[in-house]
Amino acid sequence: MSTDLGITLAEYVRGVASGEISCEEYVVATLDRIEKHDAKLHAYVSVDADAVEAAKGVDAAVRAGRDVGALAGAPFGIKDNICMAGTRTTCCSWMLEDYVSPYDATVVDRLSGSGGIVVGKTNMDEFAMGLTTEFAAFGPSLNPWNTECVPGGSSGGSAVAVSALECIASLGSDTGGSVRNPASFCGIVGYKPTYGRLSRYGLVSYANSIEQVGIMARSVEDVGIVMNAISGEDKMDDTTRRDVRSGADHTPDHIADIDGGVEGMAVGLDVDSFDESTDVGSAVRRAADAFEAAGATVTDVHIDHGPSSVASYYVLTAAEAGSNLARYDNLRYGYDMPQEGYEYNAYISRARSRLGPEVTRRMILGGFVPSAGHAGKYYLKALKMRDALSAQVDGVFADGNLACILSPTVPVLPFKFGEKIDDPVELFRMDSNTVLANLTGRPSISVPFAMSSGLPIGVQLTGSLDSDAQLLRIANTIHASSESKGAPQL
Amino acid sequence: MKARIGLEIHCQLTTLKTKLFCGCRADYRKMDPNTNVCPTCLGLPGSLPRLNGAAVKTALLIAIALGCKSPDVLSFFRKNYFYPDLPKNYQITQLDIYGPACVGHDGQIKVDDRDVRISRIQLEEDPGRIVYSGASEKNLETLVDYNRAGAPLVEIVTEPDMESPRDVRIFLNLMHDMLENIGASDASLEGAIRADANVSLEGNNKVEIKNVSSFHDLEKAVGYEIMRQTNNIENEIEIDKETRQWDEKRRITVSARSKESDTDYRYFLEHDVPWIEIGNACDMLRKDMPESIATRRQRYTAEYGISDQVAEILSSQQYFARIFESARTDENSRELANIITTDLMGLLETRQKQADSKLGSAELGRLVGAMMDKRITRTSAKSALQSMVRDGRSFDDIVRESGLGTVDDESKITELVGSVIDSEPGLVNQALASPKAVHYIMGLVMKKSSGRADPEMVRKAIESYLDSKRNDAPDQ
Amino acid sequence: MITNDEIRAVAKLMKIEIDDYEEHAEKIRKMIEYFDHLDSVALSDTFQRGITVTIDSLRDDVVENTGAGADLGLKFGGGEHMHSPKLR
Ligand SMILES: [Zn+2]
Repeated sequence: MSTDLGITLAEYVRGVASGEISCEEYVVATLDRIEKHDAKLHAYVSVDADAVEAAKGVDAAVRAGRDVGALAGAPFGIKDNICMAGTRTTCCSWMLEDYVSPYDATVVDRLSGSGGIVVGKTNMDEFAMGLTTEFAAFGPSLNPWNTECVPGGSSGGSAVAVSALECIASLGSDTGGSVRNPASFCGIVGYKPTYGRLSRYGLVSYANSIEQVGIMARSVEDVGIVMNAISGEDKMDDTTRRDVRSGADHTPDHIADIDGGVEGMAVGLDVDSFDESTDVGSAVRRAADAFEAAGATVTDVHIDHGPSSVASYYVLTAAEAGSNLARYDNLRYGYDMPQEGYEYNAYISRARSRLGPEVTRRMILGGFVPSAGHAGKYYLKALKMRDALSAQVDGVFADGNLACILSPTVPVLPFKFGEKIDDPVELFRMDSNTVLANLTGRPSISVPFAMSSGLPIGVQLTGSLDSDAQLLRIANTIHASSESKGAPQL
Repeated sequence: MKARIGLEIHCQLTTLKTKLFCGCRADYRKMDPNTNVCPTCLGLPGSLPRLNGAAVKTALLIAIALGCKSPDVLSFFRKNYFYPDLPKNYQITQLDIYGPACVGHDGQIKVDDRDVRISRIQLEEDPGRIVYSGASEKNLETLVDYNRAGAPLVEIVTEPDMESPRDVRIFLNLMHDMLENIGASDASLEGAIRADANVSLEGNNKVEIKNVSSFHDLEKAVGYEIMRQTNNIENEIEIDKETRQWDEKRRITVSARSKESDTDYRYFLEHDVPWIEIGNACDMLRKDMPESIATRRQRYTAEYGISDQVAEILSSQQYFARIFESARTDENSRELANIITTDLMGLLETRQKQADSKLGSAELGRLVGAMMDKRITRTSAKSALQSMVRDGRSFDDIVRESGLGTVDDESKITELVGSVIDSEPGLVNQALASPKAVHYIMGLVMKKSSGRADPEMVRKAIESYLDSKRNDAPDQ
Repeated sequence: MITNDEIRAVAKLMKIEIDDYEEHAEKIRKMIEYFDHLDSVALSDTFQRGITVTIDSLRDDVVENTGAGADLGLKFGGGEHMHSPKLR
């Protein structure tokens, strides 16, 4: 009997608990599938064959009647910028080609603590800078729906792995849409929580003021199950502490009300974010109709997606990246490069030339925009733009008493490799809908809603700060009316 | 021409147990290199700073002691520059350029008769340590030890309100005593306090002096710099705005070919550290704030009648001031202050010895009481004190067992005097002729009694012995 | 407009040696031009606060790291110095 790898995490957990599913069989089948397809798809940059041993342990525990945790041995993919003790964490950069972290990221620790099994580390744009995985140092991942198309990024590998049934769910990171964008392009659910809800301890920083670990899965409920397992305050990350002003609880139950529906809720349709004459735009309109059919009221809202938001995003991320990546000087850890014949500056400059082209450009931007002579024109303005945007969105939510706003996740369908990579500004535009949630700290989720020309279209829902559980409930409702079902044929 | 001198003082918060942003030890001294490190203080990928709450409180305490204002909310910034002792290639520090965010700003402290204004106080992490090792000057290896990286540090920046090397010395001493007094730092530990200075002569460019290893040298460097700048101006040579280093061997400052000028620190907010709401923390700290040295000194002279000189010594060291306060009674203040400042401070001159001391203040009170009642002499008291500090024995036990009690029995003293004079009969005539010989006899008697005889009674006994001899002698 | 010399100076500040200089320069210029969109932003004087916590919710001053022995995956072992290239 062949194992059905296409089930959801919720179904898997129930199956393991009832004895219908063997964890070992499921994990072995997953590894077989990786073996069979991943040479082409390249979702993973490293695979852990020991996962089978862990899976045997789960089955033994089930037989013995012991608790196997909320994740019951489910196989996960973890983005390669999230640290796992004893395995390589390369950020898909030649700079960290052989880097092995001495510790587990909190999210990995909690995932394992709840019984999750990590089958491998997933591909990404180098240091998460990019949205196609074309900037991955060890080669791109391919979109399983059409391998001539990009899978989105930067968490492209995590999305491909879930979509191509090479794991049940995965963790990515979302700095400006890096979880939602590839989720949309690969036809799965991708969720970025409220800033501070998931620990960043062990997530290699790119733009630390706005990024979060994100969850990718085949259903919204699965996202909730994983959230329940890994979210909440962490003593290793001070930004997960409760804000004295909001006092919001960071560990509510994310699945208890997930089937509660949207009756009576107000959804803001972000009408400036799409063009209804496109396939993506008409899909969003149909999603709005589906909300109304489910009992929500939909009102048009206007939010500034203009270039100034995206510019603000790129200025802030460049400045922070310039600082966060400064530590890669190859002195304390890194790759072999003898020091003989080099003076300090020459050595680290030479060593850092291993950073890929996009990262190099961001480093230069990162040196430029917050520098003494230019901070006023770029960095400080970007900060103020972020503040202004927060205030504007707060106003829109308050005015319409909104539960969330609806937009496309990405304004276009998945595109071909090489199509946009040479035009940085063209790539900037792909982020215009997703960066809002990062700049304002809000939770946001991409849900697969439609198909066009055999390619998935995701719609994005963005909620209020700390409304994560409610946002998942809304997303679950719209996912139920999704026109897109099933996995790609490989 | 008036000199204007400002200081930047870096003070490690050595009384804390852990570093500013991780659980490694704040006390990195006497450890093998790179053994007091963790992912955070090494800046490993994915690590995050976790702010030490006690460090924030201690820094606020310093701000209060220096009369600074503190904002409602603190925040941290990154100072970006590449250097091998900086694991992340940025330092987490504080900054006021976007409004008050440092632990303190706009303070003031009285130094002798002048006010020195404090611009700001910022909490930051210490870098690691670079050591150069090698057989010859040419083949030095650059080695780095990160044990110190992340140690909690406070930077105190003054306005240029000092005018002479002497002002600098007094200010630094004051700062040293203050930091110890409020329990913020054991300033006497190697490397615990470092200071840089800036010197300018009215209307001329400012010169920074860095990397001076001791307060003493900083005073010298400032003196040299004032002289150098004065000479330049007299000879109409313009003074460059620059950083200079103190050359210990030649005892001059030399231009540092500044790396500062071409570095752009790209300061911006450190978002990994949350904003810190101070709330009522300053009020709480103010309540528990140890009395300032100046107030204490004044109280000692005014209320306890202690001489100004003794009060100054006693009040500046919290350890001894505390012993003094708890052993003090209305009667013993002056005697107690004297024995602490002359004898006890000599026995307990280091913090280690103070920590090891077994002396209780009640016992010290008993000892002083016995001295005042003349039950024990000064000499005996000193040796008893040694034993009390070392072994923690009670004063009464020591007196009983070693017989240190004062000999004040008149007949015993007469007997002692008699036996001394008997052993050197020639002394009598000398004594009759000269008071010097009387003192000599006294010395012998005291020695014979092992310092226990009451000196006043001994003097009287000698006098009366001599009187009897005068009476015996035939009239001439 | 950012000049080639400025780009070179920033690359030096950020300690990155660049091989394919021309390609980078053109893209960087495009990106920075795009950032000019920020010129339209009206400036206010204050910054929005980030996550705010009380002092008492911060880490307690308790030693956690026993130091020696842990393998931190470094180029040097515990007990050894790190070698740096010469500073000057
Ligand atoms: Zn540490």
